[in-house]
Amino acid sequence: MKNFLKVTLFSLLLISLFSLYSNYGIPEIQPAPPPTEEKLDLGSMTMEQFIAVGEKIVSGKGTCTLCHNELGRAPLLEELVTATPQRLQDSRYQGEASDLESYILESMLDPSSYVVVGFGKAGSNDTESPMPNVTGGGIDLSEAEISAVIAYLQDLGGADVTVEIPTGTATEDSTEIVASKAQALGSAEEIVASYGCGACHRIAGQSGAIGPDLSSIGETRDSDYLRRAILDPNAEVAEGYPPNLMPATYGSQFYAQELELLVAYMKASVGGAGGQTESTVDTAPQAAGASDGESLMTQHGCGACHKFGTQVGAIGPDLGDIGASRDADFLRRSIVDPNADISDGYMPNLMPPIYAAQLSTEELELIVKYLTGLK
Amino acid sequence: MHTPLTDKTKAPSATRSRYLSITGGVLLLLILSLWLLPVALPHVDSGVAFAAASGNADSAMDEASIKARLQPVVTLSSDGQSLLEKPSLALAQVDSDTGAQAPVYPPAPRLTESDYPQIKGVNGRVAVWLVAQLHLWFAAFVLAVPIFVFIIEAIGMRTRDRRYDGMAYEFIKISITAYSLTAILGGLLVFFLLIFYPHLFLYLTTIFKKTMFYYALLFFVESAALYIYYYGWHWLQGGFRKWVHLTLGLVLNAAGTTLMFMGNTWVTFMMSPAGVDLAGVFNGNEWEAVHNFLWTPINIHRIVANIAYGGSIVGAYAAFKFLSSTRSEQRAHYDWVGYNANFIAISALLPLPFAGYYLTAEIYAYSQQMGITLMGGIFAWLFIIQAVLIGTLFLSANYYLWCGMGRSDGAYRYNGYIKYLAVVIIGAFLVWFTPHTLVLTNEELKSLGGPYHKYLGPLGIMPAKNTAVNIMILFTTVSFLIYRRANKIATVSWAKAGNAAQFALFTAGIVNILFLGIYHGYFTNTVYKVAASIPQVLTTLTIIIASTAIDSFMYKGSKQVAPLHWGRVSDRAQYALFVLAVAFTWLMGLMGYIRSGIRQHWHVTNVFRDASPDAYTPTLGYAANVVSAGTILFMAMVIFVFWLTEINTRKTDAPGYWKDTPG
Repeated sequence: MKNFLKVTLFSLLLISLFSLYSNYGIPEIQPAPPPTEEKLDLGSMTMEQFIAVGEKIVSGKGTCTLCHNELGRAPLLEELVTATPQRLQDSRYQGEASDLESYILESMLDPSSYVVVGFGKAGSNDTESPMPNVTGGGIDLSEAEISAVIAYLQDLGGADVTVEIPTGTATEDSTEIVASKAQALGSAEEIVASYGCGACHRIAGQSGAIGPDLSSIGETRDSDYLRRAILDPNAEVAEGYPPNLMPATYGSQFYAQELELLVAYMKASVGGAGGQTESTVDTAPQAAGASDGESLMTQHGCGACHKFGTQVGAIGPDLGDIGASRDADFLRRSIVDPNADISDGYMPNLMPPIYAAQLSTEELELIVKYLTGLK
Repeated sequence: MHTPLTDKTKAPSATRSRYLSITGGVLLLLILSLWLLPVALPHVDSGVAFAAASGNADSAMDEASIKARLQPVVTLSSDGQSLLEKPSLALAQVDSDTGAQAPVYPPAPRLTESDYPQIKGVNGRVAVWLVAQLHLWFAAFVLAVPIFVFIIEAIGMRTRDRRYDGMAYEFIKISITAYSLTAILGGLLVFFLLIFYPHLFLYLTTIFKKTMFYYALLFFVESAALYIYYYGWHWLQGGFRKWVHLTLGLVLNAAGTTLMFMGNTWVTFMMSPAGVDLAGVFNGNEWEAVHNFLWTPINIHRIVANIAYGGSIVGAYAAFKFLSSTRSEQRAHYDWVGYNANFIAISALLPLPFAGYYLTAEIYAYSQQMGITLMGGIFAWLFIIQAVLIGTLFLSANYYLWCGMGRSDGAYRYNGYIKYLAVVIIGAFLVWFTPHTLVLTNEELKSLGGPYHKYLGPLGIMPAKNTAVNIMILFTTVSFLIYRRANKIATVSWAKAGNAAQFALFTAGIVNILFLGIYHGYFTNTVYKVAASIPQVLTTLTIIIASTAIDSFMYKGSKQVAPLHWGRVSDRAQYALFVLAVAFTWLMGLMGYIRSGIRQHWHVTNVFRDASPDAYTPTLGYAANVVSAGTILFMAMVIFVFWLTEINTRKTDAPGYWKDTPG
């Protein structure tokens, strides 16, 4: 028993020594708490305030100063402005930027476009940057936050700030930009295309398959229900669909006029024909008989996510001048296998891989031909 | 008188054949069970399972019905973001055109505080932390012991020295009691995860369902192997039976190591996820999720660390038994056992820093941010604590060796060197323990001219520390070589040349290590500073292997100058073994915190955010206090295990108690 007590006391003393040293022998570093959302009114912000937000992001959420500091792990941000012209001219430069703003943006989205000598990943001969894409994973900067960072870095180097403050509301920790509109849209089809309803629902000539089919919704639901379903999607979730799937933000996005137009359109949607006689609603998009790529893309709901022609989708890449940077093979591949090549800044598994089964070969080629002509 | 053969005594060749066939059959069954279970077991389809449960196949197979039954009890709230951020429990998506079913995995859920169940008065995070760490400690012990028991048994078979067999049996006896505690803690861990982090557990089981399924089944194999190995120890003695027994030990180790590798996949996936996209959607390839970036480094590090740790725990056991011994033979036995345990611990301790370095290098390669946060950011000071612990370990292990020199009267020849070894090892420890950046007040900063000490600051960078640890390892090797020589004189003709070669080897190695550290540390760019580490490691390993080889050849057939008197060692030396066990345990707790805490506020790094009320990274002192509490709990449980082993040998006569015994 004596030995047991001696050994126990000795062990407790040793553990106490380790604990005491950890509490009092070294600095009590207090790590930063997890990021919380802070709503900012960008609309009323001055550029100086916007730059200050950028600075806060650089030393906070962006974790830029973890590497970009005096310890020599990454290039100094203070030198960015003066170094950019030279870097753009460097034969090792792989990117497509043409000025300071686009170079800073590219550095954040595709850091390996240019790797400063001595700062590449070990073994990569300075061709691969250890810096991650700031829109992904742990950093997860939104467009507004990236703009703020660009503004800050331009200002830091003494250059003119060329970015514009995003209008409308945004949150510092948000991953979504809510764009403000100048005036209400005038038709249900425009509303459906603009807000991307067709990405999930079969409505107004678009054939989303994730949410309920709305092509005949007027037969079974009244206007009150439809209005409530838009403003508060979880109030009554259709059977067979999980809750929390449809965004609950439309209440703050629609103008009242737009909401009523849409409700009226859906109430008039009976027999799968849609709410208005002008719109061509096809349950089988292949039977549309469209003769050009743009019409085909409109019929298949591409405008829900992409911008092209008169379509104003903003979820996926802007296709307005896609022909200038991508060839036919790439475009064809992007349609039949969307995850084969994901554009920088966009997430995989967002575009449905259904078009290979929906489009005939002729229709596919018409669309590719149309897109390659967009320059 | 010649005893005729009867049915019960078969001819030796027939006996061997019988055992061969039985052993072969058992082994074949075990191996087949490990490899064929994935094929043999029916693929459990949730639709089929629910159909069976409901008794109505048609309605059970209805997808909507399945979805309704699988709706989460707690609604996962979200901020109305993009579709991919919404949880979906669709197990399969049916293509409307073809009717084909493709598995659809949900993205990682975006949780809020309300999604983490709370129990009043219980801190869920600390509960899971403590139970996980206790489980790890015990698991490390019960996995390590069979490794060196297997080796010790093999040595006993080779040398036909019964003492090794007895020691191996004693070690496995301790381990078997700890085995059930390991399992209890593992079950408790699962319960706590289900209670406090149900969505995380659901997410992990969605991805690792197969691995977890076979992990659970593999315990049958490990348990069977362990119990037969232990209970059959005295039965499977001699000749071919001993080989059967040794093979069982191999099966036990294979099962245990496989179990550890499987468990490692889940924790490394949380650190460096693979097989999932940025939204956490699993691509269906479980091997890709298993074989993530940090899996192999953790596997290597844990195998080596477990051996070192297991050695230290059995060393503590032997030390306590030594102090409690009442007879000289007992004292001698446990002194010898303690020495062997220390030898096991040091042998594994020597390469351990390299395994740890490899792990850290891979963390850097996976994510520079994670690596810098670990070594240069908020976790950097934890490595100063680690330096103190490892310095303690090395000093303690060396001190035990130096005390042990007193077992032989021939050791006086080498006593003079010990003070130099002590100075070098303490000096290296101090270098390792020196921080780079000092935390100072503004006045102190002004007077010092910056956050770095003018002279000591340069010792805080990694090249200096790599140099220091390599020197510590080398000089510990010298301590060990001196200890081995204490009671011997080499009789080979080339002994002088051999000594000269070893001296040259060590000198050249030390010069090389110092040169590499100084050049890369102070004459190159920051990004190349750690480039010295690999050549330094290779230098150290070369010296260890070469010098040990030279020594063993040089002392073949050596003359014993004075015998080793087992038992003739101070009680202080036994306390050095306790220091080893306590420091190892505390260090493992600290490293376990670092490994888990480096994810900061992520359940799965960059994929599944931790939104619990305890998602914050605690202060270093708080973490150290939790580690200390865990260490005390673990020590109490280990003492309980040792006590059980002790009472197992006690017998009490109870005269008159039993009806067949006189009063």
